[in-house]
Amino acid sequence: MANNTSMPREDHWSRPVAMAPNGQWLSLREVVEEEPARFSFVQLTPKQQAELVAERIRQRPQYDMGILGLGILDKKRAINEVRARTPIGCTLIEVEQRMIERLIKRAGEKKL
Amino acid sequence: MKPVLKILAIDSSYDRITKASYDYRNRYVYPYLESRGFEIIRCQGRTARRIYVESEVYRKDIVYVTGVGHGTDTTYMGEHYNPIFDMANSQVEELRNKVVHFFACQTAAKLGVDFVNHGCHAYFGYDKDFIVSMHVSDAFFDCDSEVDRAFADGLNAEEVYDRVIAHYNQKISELEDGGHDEAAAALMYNRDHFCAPSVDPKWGDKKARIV
Repeated sequence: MANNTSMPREDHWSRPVAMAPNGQWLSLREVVEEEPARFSFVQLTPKQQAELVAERIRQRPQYDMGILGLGILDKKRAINEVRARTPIGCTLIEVEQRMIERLIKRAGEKKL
Repeated sequence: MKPVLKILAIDSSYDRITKASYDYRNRYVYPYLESRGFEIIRCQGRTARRIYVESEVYRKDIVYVTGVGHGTDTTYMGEHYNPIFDMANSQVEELRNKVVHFFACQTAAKLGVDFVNHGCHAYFGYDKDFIVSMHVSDAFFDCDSEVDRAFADGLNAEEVYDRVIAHYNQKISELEDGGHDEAAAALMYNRDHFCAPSVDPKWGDKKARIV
């Protein structure tokens, strides 16, 4: 890829991927290493899913997602779109859902 | 001597993402299509506007229409959101007997179906927003433009779809292996919203081809 520019490798392990019964976020490391009781992404309410995704975006060192024809989103805009569950926010939530599923799977297979 | 088949390219370039895609298509895609024997008729940048497109699109020797731009479920737009094809003002005959592929958000949902209902052989596009991770944007442009390359190689719509999905899967794997997990997830999202006759006949004929 011609424009494969360097980005800091993300610390996926410390970012939340699920919610504990007490309402605390659980990181990927906690989920994979401790197998705690938890609500996985699909078990969360739409509002909780949005909050989880907003928190994941907030913890990201850089954010460079764009929507074709609409432009590039900065981190603040992305978080606001997600929290408001606008169509753009719902797109970002769907992307993050795929990412969480893949990260848990790959971490479980020790491929991360 | 066989007549030269023509491709109409309608590409906007008014913001960072469309400009990056426009550059990519001019650098990598159109030269490939020309190398396969097609002539490219360009409505790009400032000429990606309805007034310039409508003077070209009726030509019978145009077999394929492609482009990058902003889209909604009912409209494909050119430079600075100029409506190029709009369901509310559709000209029934203009895309008859052609194959159409737009690299744009949402247009497959209604507009592409409307094209097919009015005689377009096949429509390729997306039924939701197309999301791009900018630091590896070429991977995104590369996956979508595999549609153009595959049609130019003489494949039919069904074969094009299979090749594009395989290309998406390869790029997703490469991005994950390179530590670009978020970009990989975004590419999965785009792949899962990619629409073509193989997904549903409302997007046309699986046997459609342009050569």
